[in-house]
Amino acid sequence: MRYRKALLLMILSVSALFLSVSPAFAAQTGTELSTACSISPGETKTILLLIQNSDTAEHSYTLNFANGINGYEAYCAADGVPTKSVQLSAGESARVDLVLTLKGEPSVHTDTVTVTALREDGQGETISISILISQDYVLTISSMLSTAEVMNGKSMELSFSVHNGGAKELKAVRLEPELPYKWIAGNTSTIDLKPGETGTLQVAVEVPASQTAGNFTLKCTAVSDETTSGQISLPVTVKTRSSIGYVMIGALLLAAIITVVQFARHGRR
Amino acid sequence: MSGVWTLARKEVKAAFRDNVFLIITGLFVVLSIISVYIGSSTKNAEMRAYQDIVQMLKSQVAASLPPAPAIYPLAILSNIINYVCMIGAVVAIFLGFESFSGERNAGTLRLIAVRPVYRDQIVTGKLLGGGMVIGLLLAVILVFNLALFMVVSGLSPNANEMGRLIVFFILAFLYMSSFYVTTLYVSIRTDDSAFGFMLMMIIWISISYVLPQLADSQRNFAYALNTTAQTVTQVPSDTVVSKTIEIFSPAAQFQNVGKDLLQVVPETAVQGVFRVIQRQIGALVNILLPGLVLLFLSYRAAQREDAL
Amino acid sequence: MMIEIAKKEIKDALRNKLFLIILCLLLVLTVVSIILGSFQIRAALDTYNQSIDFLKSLGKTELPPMPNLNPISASKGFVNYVGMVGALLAIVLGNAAITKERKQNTLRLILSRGVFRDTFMNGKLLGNLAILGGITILTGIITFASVLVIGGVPLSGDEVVRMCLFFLMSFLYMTFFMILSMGITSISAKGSRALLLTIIVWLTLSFIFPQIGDTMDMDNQLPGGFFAQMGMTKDQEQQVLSQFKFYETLRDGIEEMSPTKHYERVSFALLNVKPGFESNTPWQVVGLKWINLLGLTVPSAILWLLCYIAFLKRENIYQTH
Repeated sequence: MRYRKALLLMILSVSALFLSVSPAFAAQTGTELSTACSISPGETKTILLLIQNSDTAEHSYTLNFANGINGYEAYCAADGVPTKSVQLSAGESARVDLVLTLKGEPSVHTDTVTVTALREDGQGETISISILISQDYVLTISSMLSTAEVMNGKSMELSFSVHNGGAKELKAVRLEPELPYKWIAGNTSTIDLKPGETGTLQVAVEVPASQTAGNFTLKCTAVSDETTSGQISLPVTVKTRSSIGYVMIGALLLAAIITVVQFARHGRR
Repeated sequence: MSGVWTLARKEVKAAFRDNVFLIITGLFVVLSIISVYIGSSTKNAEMRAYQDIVQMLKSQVAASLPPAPAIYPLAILSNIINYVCMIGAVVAIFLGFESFSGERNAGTLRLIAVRPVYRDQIVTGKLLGGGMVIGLLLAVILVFNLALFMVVSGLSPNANEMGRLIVFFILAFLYMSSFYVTTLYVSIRTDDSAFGFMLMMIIWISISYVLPQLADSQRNFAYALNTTAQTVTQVPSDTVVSKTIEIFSPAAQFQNVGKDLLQVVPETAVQGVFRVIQRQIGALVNILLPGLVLLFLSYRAAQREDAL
Repeated sequence: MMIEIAKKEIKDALRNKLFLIILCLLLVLTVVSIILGSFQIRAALDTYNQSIDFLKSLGKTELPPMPNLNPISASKGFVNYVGMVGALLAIVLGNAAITKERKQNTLRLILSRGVFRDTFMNGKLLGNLAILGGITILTGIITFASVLVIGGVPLSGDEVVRMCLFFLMSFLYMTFFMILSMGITSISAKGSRALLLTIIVWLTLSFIFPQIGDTMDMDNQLPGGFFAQMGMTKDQEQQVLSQFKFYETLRDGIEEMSPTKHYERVSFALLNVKPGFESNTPWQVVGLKWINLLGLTVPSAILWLLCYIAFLKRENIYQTH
């Protein structure tokens, strides 16, 4: 009798488990459903998540991201708009993109991040996504200078060191500078880097003559056909050309000379 | 009535004989012409740059082309809003600051008063004369600017846009007249024309710069995310405090209405002119009311014993 | 004799009704802008904290720096008020310095006492510089007190030096307009007209030239900016910029002719209204902005020398109308 009661209880529990409402969670990268993702340092990947409301009532699901050992920049987006929650009617499903960016050097080569869809009644489901740090394409950039100085109206050539820390060759490595407003960058050359190789790339930057003196930040990223490096910032101080000062002082001297001559010729009154 | 017209004609002649007034008027006209020329040329250069970009993208078989910039013809003339606020108001002050005090010091005011002319007719005559000068000035600017705009930019305004332009210049006339009436009142009340002039300059600075900047400082700047560039930008929005401060500045009201009329605001750029006026009726009242109040006060001040 | 003329100048200014009205306006605006700056700081802090939360929710690690808590740096208007009203004050002083002597017929009296014309002008200059210096110090004291009491912000040594340098720039800026006004009045036969002409020059330098500069900036021609409207990529932006080089040079040249622009640029840098100078010492800021300092001092010096020549050469300096 006791065993029959226990078995019935177990069957009921299992049935309750199956019947209990919880979001169905699935993850997809590319075209296959998987909970794994390969990412290179500096790369941004979009992981497709599907959230399904299997309940008979409408629910709001709050999306929480838990970081792994490597620091990732991540956010969830629906239709390209960053979002922290999704509202679903009964039986409805929605696609949510997890946008993941690996910045800087990774500490480990395999990692796990989790995304939790938490309902307003506390029920939730967590999906773990395995991250494999791809070491095939690793591009890093560093500046030869810690600061730069330039006159307004002049141009300067900046050199950056680019390094291939991955296992495969990087093609057409080039610089993508992000300049202060109205500054102009000249064409940059491209180089190929074999694994472990370091190269130097230059970019000519022209500062407009109308630029007032001050401190600015120039940002630069190295880009290849396969991957993108992190962004570095270079403080640049713009100074005013001396020629303008010489003209002003020259005008002052001229006025002074005319005054002295006037006094000398006509005397004091 | 003939006395009023005589006084008005005298005001017009006196204005055009005054070298300083001619200098500031000339500056106003030249500035408005320069702004139209620069605005039209810059717009043409921008369109050429856009065409070059499109050609380059087409040659590269680009998937998508940037949309053509939405250019509303009257927006090219929009800088005139600032010039009317700035120089137009000063022209009106220059016109009116010696209208009473100058005549009082020269002794001609008593001479006019002994003629069969009522004191309120003197005020009306001065007002009419000043209005005629301002109207003539704005008419010249309208004709010059429209001609230059059509020649340089190659665009021509349609009927709705012409209506907007004419309404704008009528509004500019009322705005400048408000300053003229205020200066007239100050001139009646003060003996020293230099003092009256500087007082008007202080009022002008307060209305045209201080109050609008105070209002601007009280706006909220909410952060908005640019999803494409993943950058955060600040978007200004009005608050109750900023709107309240703007009520006291006819210049801010004039700029708001002017921007709507001259198609600077894309949301109202294609609306009918009457719809725009209806929308901005509060601002129009704010522009007219101080002038009307001061006109009434001018008539009253002219009746005082010490007015002559 | 020069000192006597200077002392008289100071006494006369304190009796000038118009001067006192404008001075009161300047002091009131100073306090008002600090009050409003304090409100803005609080609102800016709230908005900043919200944006930080927003960015963190996107997983961003590069966060914008905290805004400056000094209410002066939140208030661009403070610099503009001091510039506009201060210039007006200086114009009134400079004009009154010469016209009152003509109206009261004391010019003949002074010059008949064996006072050289240049001594007379130097005395006037000294007196008016002392008045402007006094106004600057008074405004400075009120500003410091207001920032401490209303803003509740204790200023660091660095910030105190920056504000002192800002008031020095304000003094130099007002000096330019005072000398301009004195110069035009001493040249002009009609004293009242001189004031009008000075105002026209002030309008041209302080409002018209900067406005022309704004008009010529292509980014101001379309709402939201030209590049933002077109949705251009960086490469396309660069291509367009290279076509507008001449415009930029001409535009900058017109703006450089305005002492107001020089004053604004150095002041915004010193008061951290314009970002990018927080890491510099006050003297480094002045070193970077040396051209603006020259733009405030050299025109004043040239104008003063021309004043000497004009006053020396004019025969009818006693004319009162």
